[in-house]
Amino acid sequence: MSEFVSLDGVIEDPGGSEKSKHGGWTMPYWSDEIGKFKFDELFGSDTLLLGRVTYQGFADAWPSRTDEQGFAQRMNGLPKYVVSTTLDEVEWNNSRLIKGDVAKEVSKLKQQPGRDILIAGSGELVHELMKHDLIDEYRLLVYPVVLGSGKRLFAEGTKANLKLLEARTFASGVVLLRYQH
Amino acid sequence: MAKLKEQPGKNLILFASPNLASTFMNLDLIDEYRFNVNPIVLGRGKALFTDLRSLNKLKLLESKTYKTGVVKLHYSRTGE
Repeated sequence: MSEFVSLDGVIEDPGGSEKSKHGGWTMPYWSDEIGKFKFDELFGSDTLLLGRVTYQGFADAWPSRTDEQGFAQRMNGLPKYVVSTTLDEVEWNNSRLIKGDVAKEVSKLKQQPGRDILIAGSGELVHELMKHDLIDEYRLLVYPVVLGSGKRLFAEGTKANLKLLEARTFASGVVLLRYQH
Repeated sequence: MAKLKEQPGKNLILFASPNLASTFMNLDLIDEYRFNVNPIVLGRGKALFTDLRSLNKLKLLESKTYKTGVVKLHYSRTGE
C-alpha cells in the first residue's frame, strides 16, 4: 500500500478531490522527484486495489486526464479491483467489484502470478486488510504539514510490527518511509 | 511561555506532553519539532496533535535513519 500522510497521521483527501476541510494538502509539495517515485511505483504494479471512496475520486478524475509520460494512460488501463458494500457497478475502464469476503478475495488475488498489487488511499480497506495480515509493504510519503483533523492512516485496533526498508528525503521536505511487514 | 522564551539562555525543550504541544502549536510558540518515528503500529493511545485550530506547515530540516529502524524527523516552523 502507498499513502500520502500528514505528519500527524492523516490521509484524508490529499489531492483535494473529496472537497474536505484540508483537501489538497499535498499539492504545494509536488516535485519531479515525487512524480518519478509515483511513476515507478505505478509501472511496477499490474493491479490496483481500491476502496469505494478512493475509487470514486479516481474514477471522476483519471478518465479525462492525459500526460506525456503515460501515467494517466496506465491508471486508466490497469485492472482495478474495487471493494465496496454499496456500489452495484463500476464504470471506470477495466474495473470490477469485490463483494463479500474481502480477505478471502484479496488472498486469492495475491496468489495469482504477476507484479505488485497497489493500494492507494483506501483507508478503510487498508484497516480491513491489516487485520488479516494481507499487506506486505507500507509506503508512506510523509508531508511536512500538521492537519489536526481528518481520517487517520491507522485505525483503533490495528497493530503491526514493521521493518524499515528505506527512508528517503525529497527536496520539498517530503520523506518516504518504506516498511515491510 | 512567551516571556520564558524571551529570556536569555539555551533552548527550551518540551518532552512528549501532547496536550501541551497542541496548545503551544495553536499559539505558535514552537520553533522546532523533533520526532522519532518507530516502526510499529499501535492502533490505540494518544495521537500526536489534537484540537488544532488550523493547518500548520513545517519545514524539514533533517531526517536520519537509525539501525533499529527508527527515523528521526527534525522540522522547524515556516511562519506560514
